[in-house]
Amino acid sequence: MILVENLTKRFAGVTAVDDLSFTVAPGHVTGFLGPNGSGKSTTMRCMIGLDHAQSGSATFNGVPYSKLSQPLRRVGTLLDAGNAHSGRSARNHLLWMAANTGIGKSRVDAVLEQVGLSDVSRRRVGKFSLGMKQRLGIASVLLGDPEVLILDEPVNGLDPEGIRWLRDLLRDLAKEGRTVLVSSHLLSEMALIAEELVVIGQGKLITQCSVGDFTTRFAKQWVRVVSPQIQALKSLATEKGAVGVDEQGGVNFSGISALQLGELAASAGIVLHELSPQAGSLEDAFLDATASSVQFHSAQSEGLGK
Amino acid sequence: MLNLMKSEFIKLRTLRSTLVATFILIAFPVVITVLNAFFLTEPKDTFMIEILTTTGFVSMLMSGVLGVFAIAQEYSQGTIRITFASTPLRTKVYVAKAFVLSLWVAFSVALLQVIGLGIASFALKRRGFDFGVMYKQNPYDSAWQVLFAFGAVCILFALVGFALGALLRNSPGAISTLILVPLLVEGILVGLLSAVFKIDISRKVPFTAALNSVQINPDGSRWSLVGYFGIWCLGLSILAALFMKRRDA
Repeated sequence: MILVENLTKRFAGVTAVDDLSFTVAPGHVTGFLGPNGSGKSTTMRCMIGLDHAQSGSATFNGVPYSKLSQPLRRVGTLLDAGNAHSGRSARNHLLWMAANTGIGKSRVDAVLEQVGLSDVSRRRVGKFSLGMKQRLGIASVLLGDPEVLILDEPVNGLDPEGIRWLRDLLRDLAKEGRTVLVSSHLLSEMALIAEELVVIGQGKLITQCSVGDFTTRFAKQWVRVVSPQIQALKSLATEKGAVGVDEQGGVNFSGISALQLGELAASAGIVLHELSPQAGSLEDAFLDATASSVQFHSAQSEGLGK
Repeated sequence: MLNLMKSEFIKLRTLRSTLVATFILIAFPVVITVLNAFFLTEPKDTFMIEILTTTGFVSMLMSGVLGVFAIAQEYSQGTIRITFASTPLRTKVYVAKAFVLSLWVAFSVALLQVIGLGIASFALKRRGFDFGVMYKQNPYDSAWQVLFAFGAVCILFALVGFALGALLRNSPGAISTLILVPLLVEGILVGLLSAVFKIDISRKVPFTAALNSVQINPDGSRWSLVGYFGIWCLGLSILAALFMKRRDA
C-alpha cells in the first residue's frame, strides 16, 4: 500500500505538486495519469525522497521510504530508462545495484534473462536502443523482488511484443498482491493495464477512481441511431430535450438514453436500423477531465479547439 | 556500509574513464622516472624522488579527476537517482564513496611508487650507481616521508575533486576548476595581493601548500603543509556533503 498525504513541492516559486493525496492499493495496477508538466514524475521522485517535498509525506506499507531497510527489496522504481551509465555494461549496471543491497549475481542473471537482455548483457548501455534501456530499467526494478513497484512511462520505446510482455508482467505482479503504480501517456495501453486511476492536473488531484468510473464520469456518452425516418425521430427527441447531431448516415443523440429513444421510436412506429449506446474512450475521458489543467497545448489542438 | 562500499568499488572498476585516469595516474610518473634512471647522464642521490614527485603532479591532478568522475558522472548519467534510491542516507553515500575513492587512489599511488622506484632502482644498480633511489641528504627527512606525503596529497586531491564534482555536478566544470586553481588562480591571487597590498599569502594558499609538501626540502613543516591542505579539503567536503544532502537529485 502506498499512501501519499498532502504532498507539496515547489520549484523557484512554481508549485509542481500541490497538496496531493492519494492511495495505491495492492492487488491491482494503478495508473497515474496527467498531462505533460502535471507533476507525475515530480510526485514519484518526492515519494522516494529524491526530491525534497516542502510538506506532506509518502509511506510504503506505513513506512517512509527513507526509513526502509534495503529499499530496493521493498520498492522498485523506474523513473527514467536513461538512468544507467552509458559506458557501463548492462550486467555491471545491475551488479553494482545488487551489491548495494546484498543481492547475489545469480539474481542479476535471472532478471536479465527475464527481460530478454541475456545475450547483450555485456554490451555497453550506450549502444542500447530506448527499448533495450527500458528493459534494463525494468530489470533493475525487478532485481530486489519488491512488493511495491513504481514505474514512470515504462512502455516508452518498447516494441509491441515488449508492451504486451510488460502488460502481462505488471498484471501478474499485481495479482501476486504487489502494489503497482504506473504512469503512461499511452492511454489505450493504460486502459488495458490499469484497474484504478489517479489523475492529476497542475499538481492537484483531479480524481481517483476505477477506470470504469472514470470513463463513465468524464467521457461523453451518446446514442447512435440509424433509421429511414430519422428526421421524425430527431424532432420527437428534440422535444424531450435531446440534442441530435448528424453523423455518418445516422444521428448521434445526447441527453437521452437508448431506452428512452427506443420507446419513443416504438410509440411513433418509427423503424430503427441501429440503436446503440456509445461512450468515449479513456483518452476522451482523460482529455475532458484534464482540459482545464493542460499547460502545454500544441498549435494543432488549439486550432481544432477554435 | 560494506555493501555500499562494494557497490561503489564496482562502479569505479567497471568504467573505462576511471580505468584510463588510473592508468595515466600510475604510468606517467613511472615512465618518466624509469627513463631518467636509464638515461640521465649524472644522476644525484635525490633525483629519483624529485622526478617522481615532480612528474607526480600529473598523478595528483588525475587523482582529482578520478574524484570528479566518481560523483559528477553519476549526476550527468542519472545513476545518482538509483544510488540515492538504494541508499536514502546521502551522507552515508558521500562517506562510502569518499572512502572507496581514497583506497583506490592510495593503492594506485603505492603501485606507481613500487613499480617506478623498483624499476629505477634496478636500472641505477645496473649502471653502477650505488645509492639506488633512497637518499640520505637531509637528516630531518627521508625519502619515505616524501613518498607518504605524496600519497596523502594524491588522496586529498581526489577528495577535493570529489567535493568539487558533488558541488558542481558537472565533470568539465569541476575538472577545469581543479586544474585552473592550482596552476593559475592561486599564482595570480598571490601575485596580486603581494603587488597591490604587499601581503604575502604564498604559504596560505592550499594547492601551493600541497605541492610544497612533497618537495625534498619543503618551505615549512611537511606534515603541517599536508594538514593545512587537508583542512581545506575537509571544509570543502563538509560543504559538498551538505549540498548533496539538501539538493534534489
